[in-house]
Order: sequence, then C-alpha cells, then structure tokens
Amino acid sequence: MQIHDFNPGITESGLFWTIPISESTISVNFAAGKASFQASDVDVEDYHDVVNALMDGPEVDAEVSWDIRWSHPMGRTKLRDLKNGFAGDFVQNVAQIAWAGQTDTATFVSDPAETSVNEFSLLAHERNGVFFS
Amino acid sequence: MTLNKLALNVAGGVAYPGHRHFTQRLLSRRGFLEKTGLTAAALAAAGLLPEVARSGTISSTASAAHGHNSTTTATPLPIPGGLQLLGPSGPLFHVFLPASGAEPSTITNFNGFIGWAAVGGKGTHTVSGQAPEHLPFEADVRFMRGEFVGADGRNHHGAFAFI
Repeated sequence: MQIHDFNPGITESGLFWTIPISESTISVNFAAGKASFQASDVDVEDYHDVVNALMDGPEVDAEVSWDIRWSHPMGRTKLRDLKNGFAGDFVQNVAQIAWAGQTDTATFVSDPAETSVNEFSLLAHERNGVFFS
Repeated sequence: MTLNKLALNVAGGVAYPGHRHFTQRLLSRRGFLEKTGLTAAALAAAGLLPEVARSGTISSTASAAHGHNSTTTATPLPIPGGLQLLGPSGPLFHVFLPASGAEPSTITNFNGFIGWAAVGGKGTHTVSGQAPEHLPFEADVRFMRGEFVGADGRNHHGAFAFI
C-alpha cells in the first residue's frame, strides 16, 4: 500500500512534475561521469499515491530535501531518436540518494545514501526540440 | 490501487519502450512507501539531512543572485511525447519511465545536462503520535540544466528538477 507520493504536480501546459530550481544545486563533471544534486525544503504536494497524483486528486502540502550523487560510469553511448526527436551522449552510472519528506502530520527520512539501491541511473547531454538536428 | 495494478494498466495500454521491470518498480518513483511491518527506528527530527540543509542555505543565497546560479523565471514547455500511464483511453503524460533509450528530459527545446536517478531504499516513516516504521521507498529524480527556449519563445538558461 502506497502511503505517500511527493511531487509538484502537473501544469496546465502538461509540464510533468518539473519545477525550476537554482542552478547552484547541481554540479556536473560529465567527462568523469559524476554529478551531484542537492536541494532543501522544496515545496511539493503529497498525493498519497501515484494514481491519485496522475488524476490530480486531493493532496496536502509537503516539503522534500534530497542529496543525490552520480558516480561509477559504466559506459558511454550516443543516441539519436528520430521518432521522439532527441539526441545526446549518455553515460550510464550509479546513483545514490538520501532524502527526506514531510507533511504536517508525517515525516520520512531515508537511510544513509550508501544504503540506497541503484535501479537505473545516467548522466546525459541531450538536445531536443529546436536543438535537435 | 496497487503498484501491480497500475503497471498492468501501463503495460497493456501503451507502447512502452522499456522493460516491464522498470514500469513495475519505478512508476512508483519517489515516495512510494509500502507498509511492510519492518522494524521501526527512532527518528531524530533535528537530524534531517543536515548536509542537505547546509547546501540548501547555499542554494537560497545563490538563488538571489543573477547568472548561472539563479533560478530561472522562464517557463519551459513539456516534451511532445510521453506515455498514457492510466491506460489507452487516458491522457498523455509528457514523461518517459526509466529505461535505456528513453528520453530523460521532461522539457522540450532543451540543450543541456541531465541527471537521472531511479533509486530504491529504506527509511524511517513517522506519523505524529505513532511509533516510527522502517519502510521501503522508490525514487525517480532528475535534473535538467542548460539552455532552453521557453513558452515565451525566447532563449533562456536555467535548471529544473523532476521530482
């Protein structure tokens, strides 16, 4: 049973769970296949579960913080997808995360980042839309 | 609704280019917490990611500045493609799930760096007035940083978080 789903919602334009954030929260060394992404107290909503979120159902205010590190590059590929209109250089690697989320009535604090389990992670330099050629 | 039920909808409803494994495991993304009855641990509220809190302070300071350390006020447009995550008669959501070959970005007219982290783990969940529980989570978090053409038709530089 899912009990939390933290995301910032979907805009009228269709922008999906995506919000602007300070560029200083991101550090990328693409050549080394490493990056970090840290942010604190980011306003989101807790939709309880992903289906309710997709249906824009009831939610409560929430905040999340995270610290993600990408490392251990395992291979580089170039991709050009004509159907979806994007291209780029991709580095598959390993990510670890520590994060916390809270609402008025509940908190969640992940175990240390080194205990997290990588499922699928990468760094990319992507071009799409008007930059795709 | 369970994760398996949702995964069934997705797999049966759209042409999903990745592995079903990813659909099942990662559509749940950040904050998918499943009660499992695992051993609870005490939560020290004051100990919430202190290193993140410090970086947040730095970020807040940087946000007030101009240039590439600022937070863009320009609005990006979503990628045109995506998935019908609620089934074949449902709306198109402008996002792809984690899989090799899938488009990582959620914004279009973009040229820049992306980090994509689909990660699982465990943590301590505490509801006010109740004993803490140790529960699993799954997260799909991404960043996009670079140049983009906004909804205003102008070129911008900025960063975005997919949470």
